[in-house]
Amino acid sequence: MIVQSLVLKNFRNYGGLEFQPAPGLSVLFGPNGAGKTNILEALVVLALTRSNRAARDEELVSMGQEAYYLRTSIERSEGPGKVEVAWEKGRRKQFKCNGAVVPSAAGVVGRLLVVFFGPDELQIAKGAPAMRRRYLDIILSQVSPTYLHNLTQYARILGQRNKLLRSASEAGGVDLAHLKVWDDQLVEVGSWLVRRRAEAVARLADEARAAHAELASEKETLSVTYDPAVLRKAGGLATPSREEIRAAFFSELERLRPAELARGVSLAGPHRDDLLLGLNGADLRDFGSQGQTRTAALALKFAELSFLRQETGEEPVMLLDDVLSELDESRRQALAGLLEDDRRQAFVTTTDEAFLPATVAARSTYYRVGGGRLVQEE
Amino acid sequence: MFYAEPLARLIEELTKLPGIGPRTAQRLAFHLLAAPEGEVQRLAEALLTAKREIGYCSTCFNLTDQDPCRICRGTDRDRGLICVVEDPKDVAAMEKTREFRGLYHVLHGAISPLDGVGPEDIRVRELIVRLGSGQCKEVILATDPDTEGEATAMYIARLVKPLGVRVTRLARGLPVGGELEYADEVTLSKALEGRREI
Repeated sequence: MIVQSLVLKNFRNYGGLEFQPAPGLSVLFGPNGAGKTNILEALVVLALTRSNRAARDEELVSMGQEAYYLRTSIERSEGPGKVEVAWEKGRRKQFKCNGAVVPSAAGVVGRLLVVFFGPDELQIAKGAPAMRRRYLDIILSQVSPTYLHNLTQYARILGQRNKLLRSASEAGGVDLAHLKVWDDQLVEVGSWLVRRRAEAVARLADEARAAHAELASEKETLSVTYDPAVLRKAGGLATPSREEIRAAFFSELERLRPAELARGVSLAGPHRDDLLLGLNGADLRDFGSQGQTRTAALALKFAELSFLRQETGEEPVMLLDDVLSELDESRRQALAGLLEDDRRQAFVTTTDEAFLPATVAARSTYYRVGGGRLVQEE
Repeated sequence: MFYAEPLARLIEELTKLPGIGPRTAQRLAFHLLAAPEGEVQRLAEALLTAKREIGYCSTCFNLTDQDPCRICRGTDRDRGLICVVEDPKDVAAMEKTREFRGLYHVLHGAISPLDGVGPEDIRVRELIVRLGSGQCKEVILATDPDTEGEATAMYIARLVKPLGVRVTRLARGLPVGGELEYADEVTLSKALEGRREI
């Protein structure tokens, strides 16, 4: 998959930018604050409909403006495609695919496939569980619009249920029949998500182990295991069926009911899932050195890339945000190995071109970033 | 103040209407000023008459000018069938099909804790009382296919089933006249879930 053009209007520090990136590697360089990452962020918004850095669209719009607009033309194996995202203050974000309005994010996500790798992603092995859930959610949303739809539904149901529990804990009681309908929906949609995550992690784990074996200098085996919150009590199941998940989920809700009513918040469900990362059987979160956790992070990103490719038959676009400088020479070389592949388009931001291994420099196009413009360097 | 006071007041009142911004309000106000007095008179009367004469049907809670409403009094209606909807607009939508010959029950909302709406805030209790007469054999739950509509349907189903009344839910799936290849993935997967034997 190749991004052929990218248009930014009133997005971050870009008043109006039209960019025809090279089909290979685009190196965006310039000092801090020049707006390099904003280009990658625009691609993330086009791919996932929301930013990976800003929670609110108000932060994305240029200073003093009330609306932003993004557009990209993509070449996919099935033919060309166009994605547009338009946001205006006080209105719902609008999405278009190939010129036609699509009503929800689920209709857009997956058109442009991206794998984003920045300094935050390096923390994925040691960071909060939310980071690992996000890792799974972004992968699965890009391959399945139904997953994204159900994830959105789940968040909505969770919000409703939490509000009910909160009022119940304040009032000191709950209409159990009312709570049950939210239980039912939480379990219905939640167990679907758990099942889908379990399937995906089984395959990601194989990919990550293989990638890790290539990356790690020592003889270490990376294990990636899905840890669904609703099955924790049952000691986990390798490949749980939807029925098993549902039953475990209901019994967890039953068990946690008093605690939920006391604290006014939902305590069981996929919103508390995690991925367990182990190195030769030891928990990476507790025992991993900085080098080991970074190698694991890299392996997870490699796994993401091949998972997306296998599921969609498309080569995802790689977005590397200031990550080369964070890696040591051997890991940088390993990452560069991915960038050497001719079919793969990548966008790399860096403050210093020296971080780019010589092997990939040959197929790179350099752009100097500053003042809301990109200037190609010869 | 750019406009004479009566005009400004008219614009201000129009702006309070849903979906009407200041610019539309201004356009409507100028339109009304330019219109013949008789036309404006008719609009004003229609507004007041509707407000005065429309109320809730004491049986189904649809909007009506007579109580019970025309549908509840209808002699050609199947009294064994009650279709439960969220609001009066849904009754109009169902009636347009001319396929449904049963009665309605309008809840006036859906359960949504985030909006402070619980089961006791919509007309659920009234439905249960209605079913007490034993006339109704089937309740069709036609609340919206969103999270809140689903919760409302489930809540009602749990209450109605023990009464020995059949409870059904509107199907969701492919739009009629559409082509399968153009259906979005989410609709298609819901249709797959709800497939039936033929």
